[in-house]
Amino acid sequence: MSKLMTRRQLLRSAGLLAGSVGLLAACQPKVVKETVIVEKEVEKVVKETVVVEKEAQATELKAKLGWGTFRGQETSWKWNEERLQAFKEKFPGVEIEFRPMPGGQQEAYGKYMALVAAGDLDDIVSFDPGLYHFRRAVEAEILMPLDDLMAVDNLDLTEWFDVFIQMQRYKGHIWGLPSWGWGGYDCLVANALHFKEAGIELPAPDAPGPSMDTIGEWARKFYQEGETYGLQLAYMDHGLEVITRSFGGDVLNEDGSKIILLDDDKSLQGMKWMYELAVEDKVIPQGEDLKPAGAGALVAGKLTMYQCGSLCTVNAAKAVTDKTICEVTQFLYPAQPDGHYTNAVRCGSWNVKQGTSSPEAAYEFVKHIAGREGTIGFNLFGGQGALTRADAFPALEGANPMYAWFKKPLANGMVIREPANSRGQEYTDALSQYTTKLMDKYNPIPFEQGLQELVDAVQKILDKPME
Amino acid sequence: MTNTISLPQSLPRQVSPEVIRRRRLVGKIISYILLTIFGLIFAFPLFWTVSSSLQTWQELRSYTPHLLPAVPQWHNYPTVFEEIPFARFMLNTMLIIAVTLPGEIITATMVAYGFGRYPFKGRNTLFLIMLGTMMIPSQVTLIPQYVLFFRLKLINTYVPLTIGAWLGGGAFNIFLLRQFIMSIPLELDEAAIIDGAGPFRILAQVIAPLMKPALTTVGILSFLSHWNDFFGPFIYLNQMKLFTAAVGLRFFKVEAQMGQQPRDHLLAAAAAIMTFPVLLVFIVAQRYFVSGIILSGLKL
Amino acid sequence: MTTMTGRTTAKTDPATGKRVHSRIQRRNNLYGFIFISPWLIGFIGLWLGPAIAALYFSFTNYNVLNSPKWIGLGNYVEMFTRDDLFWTSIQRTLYYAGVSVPLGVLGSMILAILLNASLRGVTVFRTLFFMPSLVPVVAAAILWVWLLNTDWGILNQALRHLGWKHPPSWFGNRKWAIPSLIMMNLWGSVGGTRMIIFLAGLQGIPEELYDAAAIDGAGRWQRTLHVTLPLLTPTIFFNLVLGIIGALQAFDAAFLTVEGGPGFATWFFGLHIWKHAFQYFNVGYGAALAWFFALVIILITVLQQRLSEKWVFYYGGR
Repeated sequence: MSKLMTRRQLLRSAGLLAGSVGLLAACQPKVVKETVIVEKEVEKVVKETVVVEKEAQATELKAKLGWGTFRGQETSWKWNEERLQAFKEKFPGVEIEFRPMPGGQQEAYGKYMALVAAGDLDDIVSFDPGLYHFRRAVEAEILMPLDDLMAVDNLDLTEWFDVFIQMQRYKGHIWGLPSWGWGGYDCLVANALHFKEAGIELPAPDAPGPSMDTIGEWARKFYQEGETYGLQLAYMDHGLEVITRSFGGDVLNEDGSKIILLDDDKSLQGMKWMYELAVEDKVIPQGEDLKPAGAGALVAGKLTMYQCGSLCTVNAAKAVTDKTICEVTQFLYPAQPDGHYTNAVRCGSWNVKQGTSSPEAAYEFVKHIAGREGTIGFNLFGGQGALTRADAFPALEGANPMYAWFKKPLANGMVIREPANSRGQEYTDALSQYTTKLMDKYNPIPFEQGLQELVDAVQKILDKPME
Repeated sequence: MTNTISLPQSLPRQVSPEVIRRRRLVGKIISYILLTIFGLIFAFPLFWTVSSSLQTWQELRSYTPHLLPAVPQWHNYPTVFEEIPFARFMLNTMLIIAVTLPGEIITATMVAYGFGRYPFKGRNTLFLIMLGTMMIPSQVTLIPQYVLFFRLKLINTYVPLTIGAWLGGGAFNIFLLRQFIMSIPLELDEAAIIDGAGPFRILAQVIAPLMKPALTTVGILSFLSHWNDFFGPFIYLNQMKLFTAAVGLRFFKVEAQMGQQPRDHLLAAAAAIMTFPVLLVFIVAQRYFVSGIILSGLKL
Repeated sequence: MTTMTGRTTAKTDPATGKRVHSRIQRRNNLYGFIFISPWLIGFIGLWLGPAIAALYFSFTNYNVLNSPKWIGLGNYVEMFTRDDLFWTSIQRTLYYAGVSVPLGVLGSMILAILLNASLRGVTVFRTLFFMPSLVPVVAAAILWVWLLNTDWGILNQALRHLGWKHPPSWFGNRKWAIPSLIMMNLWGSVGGTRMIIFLAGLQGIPEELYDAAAIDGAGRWQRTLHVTLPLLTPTIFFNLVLGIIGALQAFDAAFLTVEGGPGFATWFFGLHIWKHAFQYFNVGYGAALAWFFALVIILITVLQQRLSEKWVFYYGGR
């Protein structure tokens, strides 16, 4: 803290100096040029001092921390090791013990809970905001708000896309920095060849998409019974969100306390659109009809479009073996009336534990892994989803030009709406199971009945208290 | 207690030796056919795991999957060891098994003997309670157990994973062995008592040798469950250097929802690597199983 | 006086009507406890405490991040009145267990009897049969989804050849999801440990019983019916009890293949508990579900135990 005071004092005296010089200059017109030069000199000195201060701070910072996460295992933890190495060079006095958590995200939450119960949670953790336990963790005061540290550090939050920073905020504070992020199921991955053959021109991969009526037409057009499917839908929260949004509606109300699929006409339209395609016209593959679904079917020419996210396009392209059967491209949903791209961004979070032994060191580390190098590394090591910063894109595009498509939707996207009571897993389970039931062409049920069932069940969950 | 089996009063009429021989031959042929069909059905998964381990991830995700790889990707195997310290993981697993295997066999036999041969006061209640522990899903006791081990400062050690083996080895093994012990005639015990043997000697010299098939079963099951156990090591171990092979396998699972690049081929290779030692153990143990019967001789 | 599963030599003194603890009884008590002590220690030290903690949780709202809040019977009431999935999952579980366990036990027994014949190459077959059990369940799940694919899965291709024009969408259709899991379970368990246990049981049948029966003129089928089966009843009983306990709690395969779907078709009770305890972190509610479940299983097992007196025959005596 004393260093900062010194910097402020320095800034103050430098400002005073510059101010007095300026005053003098105002009185003596012929010294103006020199004043500007002097100001520039002062600026340089201040900047250098700041750098020196920071370096001094860095070597002085001493702490012992733990980092526990499941993120990075796709790179066989190599990304994590590299980050730790780089951090050690900047802050030799900070010792960080890495405690990897193999397995999926949900398993990791089980482990986090066990650690919390035993009072042994790591200092730096990853509680994804959005649908899971982020809000609960905040309410239970497990996590530490980072506002003050960020303010003192003058952190430029615009380094990350605004949507991801929005998601780190809750109850007036900011609780972490984005670890990974993408546009959610923001696009339809498509086989360009099928469209070329049909003489249909697709919009640019990062431009607002065609109307939902058109997409429905295409779904019907490219369906050939027993041979190929035109469109594959994802019957889960990802999918429902973007489709209802494409009609101008949504799944939940703004504060996440109510499911509005029945109340809001536009959302209802979205559900009806899906039902007509799936149950009445029966052109949508169901369950295990198409397996492997998605990229596998696309690449084999058995599917024309499927609902997925921007990263799926990248991976689907990698899966192409025969270019005469499939050429991978993507197109987006129709844009919102206010100009936003229709998506539902998802992201993760690097958080700091409440009660950590060294908030500053933990904060520095979070900055480090969410920074530019960290983000690029996370992506390039294994084709992962750390599309959180604009300044990471040049490197990514250098590796794969497709990444250029994702910038606009991310820069101009929409955050997801999450259940207010943080019961994300229950919510998504119920939503996907009941939607699958509603869209079942083998055992069809009337639309109103199925939708009512879905809404009732999900509302029950939303009505539960947070704990 | 009667030991006779009652046969039906009406017996089949006498048949000539040739007919008997022919019947036996037909029976044998049918048996072989059935066994082969089943054998192929059952052996398929191993074949498929190995086949997948030699394909590329694009092949594995392709629309019509391939029974055989186009070009065998032998390098998938060394890649598994390069990507993660899999050899170390397997060593750790074997270490755990070296501790749990003898523990389970010895203590499960002891406890089963106690429950099977000594009608002590409260035996039935305690036995039912023991069965009850099998009926309460483990997820519920997991968090309190974790806190307990944490208080004892035993997290990130192998103790939580192995101590159960030396405390009876689990209700399943005890139940199994007790059933076996109860089918061993009491006359054998009584004969040994007359010879002046105490309970421990009876157990070691009379009962246990007759239980070789059951003990081998317990051994195989113990080996298998610890070899493939993911959740225990996952919860209790924090450092990579202590992880086991089952945990290592999970490293290759990716979240398709996030658009991550699949690593199925490596998962298959790692699964194949994990399966072979078990297969080996099974083949070897099986032989002992058979000879154990012949040697111990059930001729009483 | 004989008890259910044991012999006791406690006698009643005719004069006073009181029980006399003979030396044998005291000896039984002493050695009984000595031998079961490893289990007893583990049970009291490592299991009882956590189980009681879990019971306590079942009367609370507890999400691990906050401390438990007492709500009395709230969870139990919610279970029976407000949780639609409670009854759904019970029905699914009973269906699954009711079909897979009898079929599985029967199948394992038949295979074991087949293998027990002294045919050449039996060891090879035994190893082959055991293979499904060796493959990690993760890999097995992938395999079965592949096998049961509607369009090009091997099973449906075979069915089409046999004349069934539109074979079902196995994992995609709510009606066929559980049968698919039953198939998967049978395949994975019939040649596995259950069969090994039957083999051990078969090899525990004394040879001379067969010889005696053969001398009496019994043919192969007769011997199977009147020697093998009765003496196998303890093993059958064992496998039935454990099979039911296992099937009632099962959810790994359901989770890995279709995650409880489609449309909750495979939402087993075990999955329901696990979801609440480990994904939703309604630990209190999960504990309540688990304890309710435990009581049900205990009841079923006690029932089986009582019934076993009627049909299980212990060669060594009870």
